[in-house]
Amino acid sequence: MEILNSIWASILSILSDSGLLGLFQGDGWKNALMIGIACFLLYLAIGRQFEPLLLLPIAFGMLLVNLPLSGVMDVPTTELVPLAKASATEIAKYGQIVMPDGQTYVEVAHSGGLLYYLYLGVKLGIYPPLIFLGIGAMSDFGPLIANPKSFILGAAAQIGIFFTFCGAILLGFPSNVAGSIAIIGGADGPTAIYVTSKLAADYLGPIAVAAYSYMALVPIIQPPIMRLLTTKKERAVVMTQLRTVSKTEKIMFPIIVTIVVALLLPSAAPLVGMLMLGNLMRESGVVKRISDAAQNELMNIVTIFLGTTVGATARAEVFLTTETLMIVGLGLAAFCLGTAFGVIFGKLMYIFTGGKVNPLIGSAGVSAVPMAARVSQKVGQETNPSNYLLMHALGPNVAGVIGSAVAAGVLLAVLGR
Amino acid sequence: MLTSLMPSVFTQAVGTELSDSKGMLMAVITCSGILIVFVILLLLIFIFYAYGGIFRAVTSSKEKKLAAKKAAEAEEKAKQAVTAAPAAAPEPIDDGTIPGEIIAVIAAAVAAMSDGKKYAVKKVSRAQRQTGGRSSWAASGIYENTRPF
Repeated sequence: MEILNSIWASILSILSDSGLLGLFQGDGWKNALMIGIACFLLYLAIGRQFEPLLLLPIAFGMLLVNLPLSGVMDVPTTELVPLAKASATEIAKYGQIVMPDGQTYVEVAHSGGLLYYLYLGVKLGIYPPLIFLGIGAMSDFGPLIANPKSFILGAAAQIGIFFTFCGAILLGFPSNVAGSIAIIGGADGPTAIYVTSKLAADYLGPIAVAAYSYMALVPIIQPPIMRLLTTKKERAVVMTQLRTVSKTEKIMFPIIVTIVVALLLPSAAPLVGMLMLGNLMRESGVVKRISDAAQNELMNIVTIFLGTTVGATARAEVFLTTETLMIVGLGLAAFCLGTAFGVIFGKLMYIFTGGKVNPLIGSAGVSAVPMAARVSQKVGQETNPSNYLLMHALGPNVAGVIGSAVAAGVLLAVLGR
Repeated sequence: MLTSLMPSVFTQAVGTELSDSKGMLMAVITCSGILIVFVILLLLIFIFYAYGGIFRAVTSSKEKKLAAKKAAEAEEKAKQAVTAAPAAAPEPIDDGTIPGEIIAVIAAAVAAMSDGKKYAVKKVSRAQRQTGGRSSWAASGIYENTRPF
Protein backbone atom coordinates (compact mmCIF):
# COMPACT_ATOMS: atom_id res chain seq x y z
CA MET A 1 0.00 0.00 0.00
CA GLU A 2 2.86 2.30 0.86
CA ILE A 3 4.40 1.57 -2.48
CA LEU A 4 1.18 2.50 -4.25
CA ASN A 5 1.00 5.77 -2.33
CA SER A 6 4.58 6.55 -3.31
CA ILE A 7 3.85 5.84 -6.97
CA TRP A 8 0.72 8.01 -6.81
CA ALA A 9 2.68 10.81 -5.13
CA SER A 10 5.34 10.57 -7.85
CA ILE A 11 2.70 10.75 -10.56
CA LEU A 12 1.10 13.78 -8.92
CA SER A 13 4.50 15.43 -8.59
CA ILE A 14 5.29 14.85 -12.26
CA LEU A 15 1.84 16.13 -13.25
CA SER A 16 2.18 19.26 -11.11
CA ASP A 17 5.54 20.00 -12.76
CA SER A 18 4.25 19.27 -16.26
CA GLY A 19 2.96 21.72 -18.78
CA LEU A 20 -0.36 19.90 -18.89
CA LEU A 21 -1.42 21.45 -15.61
CA GLY A 22 -0.42 24.87 -16.93
CA LEU A 23 -3.18 24.62 -19.54
CA PHE A 24 -5.81 24.50 -16.78
CA GLN A 25 -4.43 27.17 -14.48
CA GLY A 26 -5.00 30.92 -14.71
CA ASP A 27 -4.73 32.06 -18.33
CA GLY A 28 -3.80 28.57 -19.47
CA TRP A 29 -6.93 28.46 -21.65
CA LYS A 30 -5.32 31.14 -23.81
CA ASN A 31 -2.39 28.84 -24.46
CA ALA A 32 -4.81 26.04 -25.32
CA LEU A 33 -6.57 28.35 -27.78
CA MET A 34 -3.25 29.35 -29.34
CA ILE A 35 -2.32 25.67 -29.71
CA GLY A 36 -5.63 25.25 -31.55
CA ILE A 37 -4.82 28.21 -33.83
CA ALA A 38 -1.34 26.80 -34.47
CA CYS A 39 -2.85 23.44 -35.42
CA PHE A 40 -5.30 25.19 -37.76
CA LEU A 41 -2.41 27.05 -39.43
CA LEU A 42 -0.55 23.74 -39.74
CA TYR A 43 -3.62 22.34 -41.47
CA LEU A 44 -3.68 25.31 -43.86
CA ALA A 45 0.03 24.83 -44.60
CA ILE A 46 -0.09 21.05 -45.06
CA GLY A 47 -3.67 20.31 -46.07
CA ARG A 48 -4.33 23.39 -48.21
CA GLN A 49 -0.70 24.20 -49.07
CA PHE A 50 -1.08 27.92 -48.26
CA GLU A 51 2.48 29.29 -48.38
CA PRO A 52 3.66 26.05 -46.72
CA LEU A 53 7.34 26.99 -46.78
CA LEU A 54 6.69 29.77 -44.27
CA LEU A 55 3.36 28.96 -42.70
CA LEU A 56 4.53 25.54 -41.53
CA PRO A 57 7.55 26.78 -39.50
CA ILE A 58 5.55 29.81 -38.28
CA ALA A 59 2.72 27.61 -37.06
CA PHE A 60 5.11 25.18 -35.41
CA GLY A 61 6.98 28.01 -33.68
CA MET A 62 3.60 29.24 -32.43
CA LEU A 63 2.79 25.76 -31.17
CA LEU A 64 6.11 25.39 -29.33
CA VAL A 65 5.98 28.75 -27.58
CA ASN A 66 2.45 28.22 -26.33
CA LEU A 67 3.12 24.85 -24.73
CA PRO A 68 3.39 25.76 -21.03
CA LEU A 69 6.88 25.48 -19.54
CA SER A 70 8.48 24.68 -22.93
CA GLY A 71 10.84 27.61 -22.35
CA VAL A 72 11.84 27.81 -26.02
CA MET A 73 11.66 31.62 -26.02
CA ASP A 74 12.88 32.22 -22.46
CA VAL A 75 15.27 35.12 -22.17
CA PRO A 76 18.58 34.48 -20.41
CA THR A 77 18.38 35.48 -16.76
CA THR A 78 20.58 35.72 -13.70
CA GLU A 79 19.61 34.73 -10.19
CA LEU A 80 21.16 35.82 -6.91
CA VAL A 81 21.67 32.69 -4.84
CA PRO A 82 22.80 33.10 -1.20
CA LEU A 83 26.28 31.74 -0.76
CA ALA A 84 25.06 29.13 1.70
CA LYS A 85 22.63 27.67 -0.84
CA ALA A 86 25.00 27.73 -3.83
CA SER A 87 26.82 24.61 -4.92
CA ALA A 88 30.60 24.45 -5.12
CA THR A 89 30.41 24.25 -8.91
CA GLU A 90 28.27 27.40 -9.08
CA ILE A 91 30.62 29.27 -6.76
CA ALA A 92 33.60 28.21 -8.87
CA LYS A 93 31.85 29.12 -12.12
CA TYR A 94 30.18 32.43 -11.28
CA GLY A 95 32.20 33.79 -8.34
CA GLN A 96 30.84 35.64 -5.32
CA ILE A 97 29.45 39.13 -5.01
CA VAL A 98 28.78 41.10 -1.87
CA MET A 99 25.56 43.07 -1.98
CA PRO A 100 24.95 46.41 -0.20
CA ASP A 101 23.06 44.51 2.53
CA GLY A 102 26.35 42.84 3.48
CA GLN A 103 25.23 39.38 2.34
CA THR A 104 27.34 37.34 -0.09
CA TYR A 105 25.62 35.91 -3.14
CA VAL A 106 26.48 33.93 -6.19
CA GLU A 107 25.04 35.35 -9.45
CA VAL A 108 23.93 32.22 -11.27
CA ALA A 109 23.22 32.64 -14.98
CA HIS A 110 20.41 30.72 -16.70
CA SER A 111 20.60 30.28 -20.47
CA GLY A 112 17.74 31.40 -22.70
CA GLY A 113 15.59 29.10 -24.85
CA LEU A 114 16.76 27.86 -28.23
CA LEU A 115 14.37 30.03 -30.21
CA TYR A 116 15.33 33.09 -28.17
CA TYR A 117 18.85 32.90 -29.58
CA LEU A 118 17.65 32.16 -33.11
CA TYR A 119 15.24 35.10 -32.78
CA LEU A 120 18.20 37.46 -32.47
CA GLY A 121 18.53 37.15 -36.25
CA VAL A 122 15.08 38.72 -36.56
CA LYS A 123 15.58 41.24 -33.77
CA LEU A 124 18.85 42.47 -35.22
CA GLY A 125 17.39 42.64 -38.73
CA ILE A 126 19.62 39.91 -40.19
CA TYR A 127 17.21 37.32 -41.62
CA PRO A 128 14.98 39.51 -43.83
CA PRO A 129 17.89 40.95 -45.85
CA LEU A 130 19.28 37.41 -46.23
CA ILE A 131 15.90 36.30 -47.59
CA PHE A 132 16.08 39.24 -49.98
CA LEU A 133 19.50 37.99 -51.11
CA GLY A 134 17.89 34.70 -52.09
CA ILE A 135 14.92 36.41 -53.75
CA GLY A 136 17.34 38.56 -55.77
CA ALA A 137 19.23 35.47 -56.87
CA MET A 138 15.94 33.90 -58.02
CA SER A 139 14.50 36.98 -59.75
CA ASP A 140 14.72 37.90 -63.39
CA PHE A 141 14.44 41.66 -63.78
CA GLY A 142 14.43 41.32 -67.59
CA PRO A 143 10.71 42.15 -67.99
CA LEU A 144 11.17 45.26 -65.83
CA ILE A 145 14.23 46.41 -67.80
CA ALA A 146 12.39 45.79 -71.07
CA ASN A 147 9.44 47.85 -69.88
CA PRO A 148 10.57 50.37 -67.21
CA LYS A 149 7.03 51.84 -67.08
CA SER A 150 6.30 48.87 -64.80
CA PHE A 151 7.98 50.80 -61.99
CA ILE A 152 4.90 53.06 -61.87
CA LEU A 153 2.69 50.08 -61.09
CA GLY A 154 5.16 48.90 -58.45
CA ALA A 155 4.93 52.35 -56.84
CA ALA A 156 1.13 52.63 -57.18
CA ALA A 157 0.57 49.39 -55.31
CA GLN A 158 2.41 50.87 -52.31
CA ILE A 159 -0.16 53.67 -51.89
CA GLY A 160 -2.31 51.30 -49.85
CA ILE A 161 0.46 51.16 -47.24
CA PHE A 162 0.20 54.86 -46.51
CA PHE A 163 -3.61 54.97 -46.42
CA THR A 164 -3.59 52.03 -44.03
CA PHE A 165 -1.13 53.93 -41.87
CA CYS A 166 -3.81 56.61 -41.49
CA GLY A 167 -6.40 53.95 -40.65
CA ALA A 168 -4.15 52.47 -37.97
CA ILE A 169 -3.53 55.89 -36.44
CA LEU A 170 -7.28 56.53 -36.39
CA LEU A 171 -7.79 53.21 -34.61
CA GLY A 172 -5.49 54.42 -31.88
CA PHE A 173 -2.22 52.66 -32.65
CA PRO A 174 1.00 54.55 -31.95
CA SER A 175 2.74 55.75 -35.11
CA ASN A 176 5.51 53.11 -34.98
CA VAL A 177 2.98 50.27 -34.71
CA ALA A 178 0.79 51.89 -37.40
CA GLY A 179 3.78 51.91 -39.75
CA SER A 180 4.46 48.23 -39.05
CA ILE A 181 0.83 47.29 -39.68
CA ALA A 182 0.66 49.36 -42.85
CA ILE A 183 3.64 47.61 -44.43
CA ILE A 184 1.53 44.43 -44.62
CA GLY A 185 0.03 46.12 -47.71
CA GLY A 186 3.35 45.64 -49.48
CA ALA A 187 2.55 41.90 -49.52
CA ASP A 188 6.16 41.19 -48.77
CA GLY A 189 6.75 39.05 -45.68
CA PRO A 190 10.46 39.75 -45.13
CA THR A 191 9.90 43.50 -45.53
CA ALA A 192 7.03 43.44 -43.03
CA ILE A 193 9.18 41.51 -40.54
CA TYR A 194 12.15 43.81 -41.07
CA VAL A 195 10.13 46.99 -40.52
CA THR A 196 8.28 45.55 -37.52
CA SER A 197 11.46 44.28 -35.89
CA LYS A 198 12.84 47.82 -36.10
CA LEU A 199 9.70 49.77 -35.20
CA ALA A 200 7.48 47.60 -33.01
CA ALA A 201 9.08 44.24 -32.18
CA ASP A 202 6.30 43.35 -29.72
CA TYR A 203 3.83 43.15 -32.61
CA LEU A 204 5.95 40.85 -34.75
CA GLY A 205 3.77 37.77 -34.23
CA PRO A 206 0.39 39.09 -35.35
CA ILE A 207 1.89 41.22 -38.14
CA ALA A 208 3.95 38.37 -39.59
CA VAL A 209 1.04 35.94 -39.41
CA ALA A 210 -1.26 38.49 -41.09
CA ALA A 211 1.33 39.32 -43.79
CA TYR A 212 1.99 35.70 -44.72
CA SER A 213 -1.69 34.76 -44.53
CA TYR A 214 -2.60 37.48 -47.02
CA MET A 215 0.31 36.53 -49.27
CA ALA A 216 -1.07 33.00 -49.30
CA LEU A 217 -4.54 34.33 -50.03
CA VAL A 218 -3.49 36.42 -53.06
CA PRO A 219 -5.40 34.17 -55.51
CA ILE A 220 -8.56 34.61 -53.45
CA ILE A 221 -8.34 38.29 -52.46
CA GLN A 222 -7.13 39.88 -55.70
CA PRO A 223 -9.38 38.56 -58.52
CA PRO A 224 -12.68 40.11 -57.28
CA ILE A 225 -10.99 43.53 -56.94
CA MET A 226 -9.43 43.17 -60.39
CA ARG A 227 -12.75 42.23 -61.99
CA LEU A 228 -14.56 45.02 -60.17
CA LEU A 229 -12.23 47.73 -61.38
CA THR A 230 -11.81 46.65 -65.01
CA THR A 231 -14.07 46.16 -67.99
CA LYS A 232 -14.12 43.02 -70.11
CA LYS A 233 -12.57 44.98 -72.97
CA GLU A 234 -9.68 46.11 -70.77
CA ARG A 235 -9.08 42.61 -69.44
CA ALA A 236 -8.90 41.24 -72.97
CA VAL A 237 -6.03 43.50 -74.07
CA VAL A 238 -3.16 41.52 -75.56
CA MET A 239 0.13 43.24 -74.91
CA THR A 240 2.96 43.33 -77.45
CA GLN A 241 5.99 41.14 -76.93
CA LEU A 242 8.73 42.60 -74.74
CA ARG A 243 12.09 43.42 -76.28
CA THR A 244 15.07 41.19 -75.66
CA VAL A 245 17.28 42.42 -72.83
CA SER A 246 21.03 41.97 -73.17
CA LYS A 247 23.19 40.37 -70.50
CA THR A 248 25.08 43.62 -69.96
CA GLU A 249 21.81 45.44 -69.22
CA LYS A 250 20.86 42.77 -66.71
CA ILE A 251 24.26 43.05 -65.01
CA MET A 252 24.12 46.86 -64.85
CA PHE A 253 20.57 46.91 -63.46
CA PRO A 254 21.28 45.82 -59.86
CA ILE A 255 24.30 48.10 -59.64
CA ILE A 256 22.36 51.16 -60.82
CA VAL A 257 19.31 50.44 -58.63
CA THR A 258 21.51 49.98 -55.57
CA ILE A 259 23.37 53.23 -56.15
CA VAL A 260 20.20 55.26 -56.82
CA VAL A 261 18.07 53.85 -53.99
CA ALA A 262 20.81 53.71 -51.35
CA LEU A 263 21.92 57.25 -52.12
CA LEU A 264 18.40 58.68 -52.01
CA LEU A 265 17.04 56.53 -49.19
CA PRO A 266 19.85 55.00 -47.09
CA SER A 267 17.41 53.27 -44.75
CA ALA A 268 16.30 51.04 -47.64
CA ALA A 269 19.90 50.00 -48.37
CA PRO A 270 19.93 46.71 -46.37
CA LEU A 271 16.88 45.31 -48.19
CA VAL A 272 17.47 46.73 -51.66
CA GLY A 273 21.23 46.17 -51.41
CA MET A 274 20.88 42.48 -50.59
CA LEU A 275 18.15 42.01 -53.21
CA MET A 276 20.40 43.51 -55.84
CA LEU A 277 23.50 41.64 -54.65
CA GLY A 278 21.62 38.38 -55.09
CA ASN A 279 20.52 39.44 -58.56
CA LEU A 280 24.01 40.53 -59.56
CA MET A 281 25.36 37.13 -58.48
CA ARG A 282 22.74 35.50 -60.71
CA GLU A 283 23.15 37.71 -63.76
CA SER A 284 26.94 38.02 -63.72
CA GLY A 285 27.22 34.26 -64.22
CA VAL A 286 30.68 34.20 -62.63
CA VAL A 287 29.66 33.04 -59.15
CA LYS A 288 27.22 30.29 -60.03
CA ARG A 289 27.99 28.30 -56.87
CA ILE A 290 27.28 31.26 -54.60
CA SER A 291 24.18 32.14 -56.56
CA ASP A 292 22.91 28.58 -56.23
CA ALA A 293 23.68 28.60 -52.50
CA ALA A 294 21.77 31.86 -52.02
CA GLN A 295 18.78 30.50 -53.96
CA ASN A 296 18.68 27.15 -52.22
CA GLU A 297 20.66 26.33 -49.06
CA LEU A 298 20.87 29.83 -47.56
CA MET A 299 17.27 30.66 -48.43
CA ASN A 300 16.02 27.40 -46.95
CA ILE A 301 18.04 27.68 -43.73
CA VAL A 302 17.04 31.30 -43.13
CA THR A 303 13.42 30.45 -43.93
CA ILE A 304 13.43 27.79 -41.19
CA PHE A 305 14.94 30.17 -38.62
CA LEU A 306 12.79 33.13 -39.64
CA GLY A 307 9.53 31.23 -39.77
CA THR A 308 9.99 29.34 -36.52
CA THR A 309 11.17 32.30 -34.48
CA VAL A 310 8.54 34.67 -35.87
CA GLY A 311 5.90 32.09 -35.00
CA ALA A 312 7.39 31.85 -31.54
CA THR A 313 6.71 35.54 -30.96
CA ALA A 314 2.97 34.78 -31.08
CA ARG A 315 2.58 34.10 -27.38
CA ALA A 316 -1.00 33.93 -26.09
CA GLU A 317 -0.75 37.09 -23.99
CA VAL A 318 0.46 39.06 -27.03
CA PHE A 319 -1.61 37.41 -29.74
CA LEU A 320 -5.04 37.05 -28.15
CA THR A 321 -5.93 40.72 -27.97
CA THR A 322 -8.39 42.95 -29.74
CA GLU A 323 -5.37 44.66 -31.30
CA THR A 324 -4.59 41.43 -33.20
CA LEU A 325 -8.09 41.48 -34.69
CA MET A 326 -7.56 45.08 -35.73
CA ILE A 327 -4.15 44.23 -37.22
CA VAL A 328 -5.69 41.41 -39.25
CA GLY A 329 -8.44 43.77 -40.47
CA LEU A 330 -6.06 46.60 -41.27
CA GLY A 331 -3.70 44.20 -43.05
CA LEU A 332 -6.54 43.06 -45.28
CA ALA A 333 -7.46 46.68 -45.99
CA ALA A 334 -3.83 47.49 -46.85
CA PHE A 335 -3.63 44.54 -49.19
CA CYS A 336 -6.91 45.33 -50.94
CA LEU A 337 -5.99 49.01 -51.30
CA GLY A 338 -2.58 48.10 -52.75
CA THR A 339 -4.22 45.82 -55.30
CA ALA A 340 -6.86 48.44 -56.15
CA PHE A 341 -4.34 51.25 -56.65
CA GLY A 342 -2.20 49.00 -58.83
CA VAL A 343 -5.18 48.20 -61.06
CA ILE A 344 -6.30 51.87 -61.13
CA PHE A 345 -2.85 52.97 -62.30
CA GLY A 346 -2.94 50.12 -64.80
CA LYS A 347 -6.19 51.61 -66.11
CA LEU A 348 -4.51 55.01 -66.37
CA MET A 349 -1.71 53.43 -68.37
CA TYR A 350 -4.34 51.72 -70.54
CA ILE A 351 -5.88 55.12 -71.28
CA PHE A 352 -2.62 57.00 -71.86
CA THR A 353 -1.14 54.31 -74.13
CA GLY A 354 -4.31 54.09 -76.22
CA GLY A 355 -5.26 50.62 -74.97
CA LYS A 356 -1.85 48.95 -75.25
CA VAL A 357 -1.52 48.08 -71.54
CA ASN A 358 -3.74 45.50 -69.87
CA PRO A 359 -4.72 47.01 -66.46
CA LEU A 360 -4.67 43.56 -64.87
CA ILE A 361 -0.88 43.67 -64.66
CA GLY A 362 -1.22 46.54 -62.15
CA SER A 363 -2.37 44.20 -59.39
CA ALA A 364 0.99 42.42 -59.61
CA GLY A 365 2.61 45.56 -58.18
CA VAL A 366 2.01 44.21 -54.68
CA SER A 367 5.23 42.13 -54.60
CA ALA A 368 4.14 38.58 -53.62
CA VAL A 369 6.42 37.21 -56.32
CA PRO A 370 5.38 35.34 -58.42
CA MET A 371 1.88 34.62 -57.12
CA ALA A 372 0.51 38.09 -57.95
CA ALA A 373 1.84 37.85 -61.54
CA ARG A 374 0.22 34.45 -61.91
CA VAL A 375 -3.08 35.88 -60.74
CA SER A 376 -2.87 38.59 -63.43
CA GLN A 377 -2.21 35.87 -66.00
CA LYS A 378 -5.10 33.74 -64.74
CA VAL A 379 -7.67 36.55 -64.64
CA GLY A 380 -6.53 37.74 -68.08
CA GLN A 381 -7.01 34.26 -69.52
CA GLU A 382 -10.54 34.06 -68.12
CA THR A 383 -11.49 36.77 -70.62
CA ASN A 384 -9.11 35.85 -73.41
CA PRO A 385 -7.76 32.29 -73.17
CA SER A 386 -5.00 33.00 -75.70
CA ASN A 387 -3.70 35.97 -73.71
CA TYR A 388 -0.32 35.49 -72.07
CA LEU A 389 0.22 38.24 -69.47
CA LEU A 390 2.71 36.50 -67.17
CA MET A 391 5.87 38.10 -68.55
CA HIS A 392 4.22 41.54 -68.62
CA ALA A 393 2.99 41.13 -65.03
CA LEU A 394 6.41 40.04 -63.79
CA GLY A 395 7.69 43.57 -64.49
CA PRO A 396 5.34 45.27 -61.98
CA ASN A 397 5.75 42.27 -59.68
CA VAL A 398 9.51 42.69 -59.25
CA ALA A 399 9.06 46.49 -59.30
CA GLY A 400 6.72 45.93 -56.34
CA VAL A 401 9.53 44.22 -54.42
CA ILE A 402 11.73 47.27 -54.97
CA GLY A 403 8.76 49.58 -54.26
CA SER A 404 7.90 47.90 -50.96
CA ALA A 405 11.56 48.04 -49.90
CA VAL A 406 11.56 51.76 -50.70
CA ALA A 407 8.28 52.26 -48.79
CA ALA A 408 9.83 50.36 -45.87
CA GLY A 409 12.82 52.68 -46.04
CA VAL A 410 10.50 55.71 -45.93
CA LEU A 411 8.67 54.37 -42.85
CA LEU A 412 11.94 53.53 -41.10
CA ALA A 413 13.42 56.91 -41.93
CA VAL A 414 10.38 58.83 -40.67
CA LEU A 415 9.19 56.67 -37.77
CA GLY A 416 12.41 55.01 -36.66
CA ARG A 417 13.99 58.14 -35.27
CA MET B 1 -19.77 44.25 -28.37
CA LEU B 2 -18.06 45.89 -31.32
CA THR B 3 -17.65 49.16 -29.54
CA SER B 4 -16.03 47.37 -26.64
CA LEU B 5 -13.43 46.01 -29.06
CA MET B 6 -12.44 49.50 -30.20
CA PRO B 7 -10.03 51.52 -28.15
CA SER B 8 -11.30 54.80 -26.83
CA VAL B 9 -8.92 56.63 -29.13
CA PHE B 10 -10.88 55.39 -32.12
CA THR B 11 -14.12 56.84 -30.89
CA GLN B 12 -12.31 60.06 -30.13
CA ALA B 13 -10.67 60.11 -33.53
CA VAL B 14 -13.79 59.50 -35.58
CA GLY B 15 -15.60 61.96 -33.41
CA THR B 16 -14.59 65.52 -33.21
CA GLU B 17 -11.53 65.09 -31.12
CA LEU B 18 -9.01 64.13 -33.79
CA SER B 19 -6.01 66.03 -32.55
CA ASP B 20 -4.11 68.35 -34.86
CA SER B 21 -0.85 66.52 -34.24
CA LYS B 22 -2.35 63.21 -35.34
CA GLY B 23 -3.86 64.75 -38.44
CA MET B 24 -0.56 66.39 -39.20
CA LEU B 25 1.33 63.12 -38.70
CA MET B 26 -1.00 61.26 -41.04
CA ALA B 27 -0.86 63.97 -43.69
CA VAL B 28 2.92 64.30 -43.53
CA ILE B 29 3.68 60.58 -43.63
CA THR B 30 1.08 59.75 -46.28
CA CYS B 31 2.01 62.59 -48.62
CA SER B 32 5.77 62.39 -48.12
CA GLY B 33 5.74 58.58 -48.28
CA ILE B 34 3.79 58.40 -51.54
CA LEU B 35 5.85 61.25 -52.98
CA ILE B 36 9.21 59.68 -52.11
CA VAL B 37 8.24 56.23 -53.41
CA PHE B 38 7.03 57.73 -56.69
CA VAL B 39 10.01 60.06 -57.08
CA ILE B 40 12.52 57.25 -56.60
CA LEU B 41 10.72 54.84 -58.91
CA LEU B 42 10.10 57.55 -61.53
CA LEU B 43 13.80 58.35 -61.39
CA LEU B 44 14.52 54.68 -62.02
CA ILE B 45 12.09 54.71 -64.97
CA PHE B 46 13.91 57.70 -66.45
CA ILE B 47 17.32 56.07 -65.89
CA PHE B 48 16.30 52.76 -67.41
CA TYR B 49 14.61 54.34 -70.41
CA ALA B 50 17.79 56.31 -71.11
CA TYR B 51 19.87 53.23 -70.37
CA GLY B 52 17.74 51.02 -72.64
CA GLY B 53 17.93 53.65 -75.38
CA ILE B 54 21.72 53.74 -75.19
CA PHE B 55 21.94 49.96 -75.32
CA ARG B 56 19.57 49.73 -78.26
CA ALA B 57 21.56 52.41 -80.12
CA VAL B 58 24.84 50.58 -79.47
CA THR B 59 23.32 47.24 -80.49
CA SER B 60 21.75 48.59 -83.66
CA SER B 61 24.99 50.30 -84.70
CA LYS B 62 26.84 46.99 -84.17
CA GLU B 63 24.18 45.17 -86.16
CA LYS B 64 24.43 47.72 -88.96
CA LYS B 65 28.19 47.28 -89.12
CA LEU B 66 27.79 43.52 -89.15
CA ALA B 67 25.17 43.71 -91.89
CA ALA B 68 27.39 45.99 -93.98
CA LYS B 69 30.30 43.57 -93.53
CA LYS B 70 28.14 40.63 -94.55
CA ALA B 71 26.85 42.51 -97.57
CA ALA B 72 30.40 43.31 -98.63
CA GLU B 73 31.42 39.67 -98.24
CA ALA B 74 28.40 38.51 -100.23
CA GLU B 75 29.26 40.96 -102.99
CA GLU B 76 32.82 39.67 -103.04
CA LYS B 77 31.60 36.06 -103.27
CA ALA B 78 29.21 36.97 -106.06
CA LYS B 79 32.06 38.49 -108.01
CA GLN B 80 34.15 35.34 -107.51
CA ALA B 81 31.21 33.19 -108.60
CA VAL B 82 30.88 35.12 -111.86
CA THR B 83 34.54 34.52 -112.69
CA ALA B 84 34.47 30.84 -111.65
CA ALA B 85 32.99 28.15 -113.82
CA PRO B 86 29.29 27.76 -113.31
CA ALA B 87 28.64 24.80 -111.00
CA ALA B 88 25.53 22.76 -110.77
CA ALA B 89 23.09 24.18 -108.22
CA PRO B 90 23.17 22.07 -105.03
CA GLU B 91 20.10 20.09 -104.32
CA PRO B 92 18.00 21.75 -101.57
CA ILE B 93 18.37 19.92 -98.29
CA ASP B 94 14.84 20.66 -97.11
CA ASP B 95 11.39 21.23 -98.51
CA GLY B 96 11.68 24.99 -98.01
CA THR B 97 9.62 25.15 -94.84
CA ILE B 98 12.47 24.86 -92.34
CA PRO B 99 14.18 28.15 -91.43
CA GLY B 100 17.90 28.48 -92.18
CA GLU B 101 18.70 29.00 -88.51
CA ILE B 102 17.25 25.58 -87.66
CA ILE B 103 19.35 23.91 -90.37
CA ALA B 104 22.42 25.75 -89.06
CA VAL B 105 21.70 24.54 -85.52
CA ILE B 106 21.23 20.95 -86.73
CA ALA B 107 24.51 21.13 -88.68
CA ALA B 108 26.28 22.57 -85.62
CA ALA B 109 24.88 19.78 -83.44
CA VAL B 110 26.08 17.14 -85.92
CA ALA B 111 29.54 18.79 -86.03
CA ALA B 112 29.68 18.86 -82.22
CA MET B 113 28.98 15.12 -82.05
CA SER B 114 31.29 14.10 -84.88
CA ASP B 115 34.61 13.72 -82.98
CA GLY B 116 36.60 15.63 -85.59
CA LYS B 117 35.26 13.70 -88.61
CA LYS B 118 33.70 15.78 -91.37
CA TYR B 119 30.05 15.25 -92.13
CA ALA B 120 27.72 17.01 -94.53
CA VAL B 121 24.03 17.50 -93.84
CA LYS B 122 22.32 16.36 -97.04
CA LYS B 123 18.71 16.22 -96.06
CA VAL B 124 16.61 17.75 -93.29
CA SER B 125 12.97 16.86 -93.03
CA ARG B 126 10.37 17.67 -90.41
CA ALA B 127 9.61 14.63 -88.28
CA GLN B 128 6.34 16.01 -87.01
CA ARG B 129 4.38 18.98 -88.22
CA GLN B 130 3.87 21.88 -85.82
CA THR B 131 0.48 21.77 -84.23
CA GLY B 132 0.16 25.54 -83.98
CA GLY B 133 0.59 27.76 -80.95
CA ARG B 134 3.96 28.98 -79.77
CA SER B 135 7.12 28.08 -81.68
CA SER B 136 9.83 26.12 -79.92
CA TRP B 137 12.00 29.27 -79.88
CA ALA B 138 9.26 31.32 -78.20
CA ALA B 139 8.48 28.48 -75.79
CA SER B 140 12.17 28.18 -74.95
CA GLY B 141 12.39 31.94 -74.33
CA ILE B 142 9.37 31.91 -72.03
CA TYR B 143 10.71 28.87 -70.20
CA GLU B 144 14.07 30.55 -69.68
CA ASN B 145 12.50 33.76 -68.36
CA THR B 146 10.03 32.09 -66.04
CA ARG B 147 12.30 29.26 -64.90
CA PRO B 148 12.95 30.62 -61.40
CA PHE B 149 9.25 30.92 -60.70
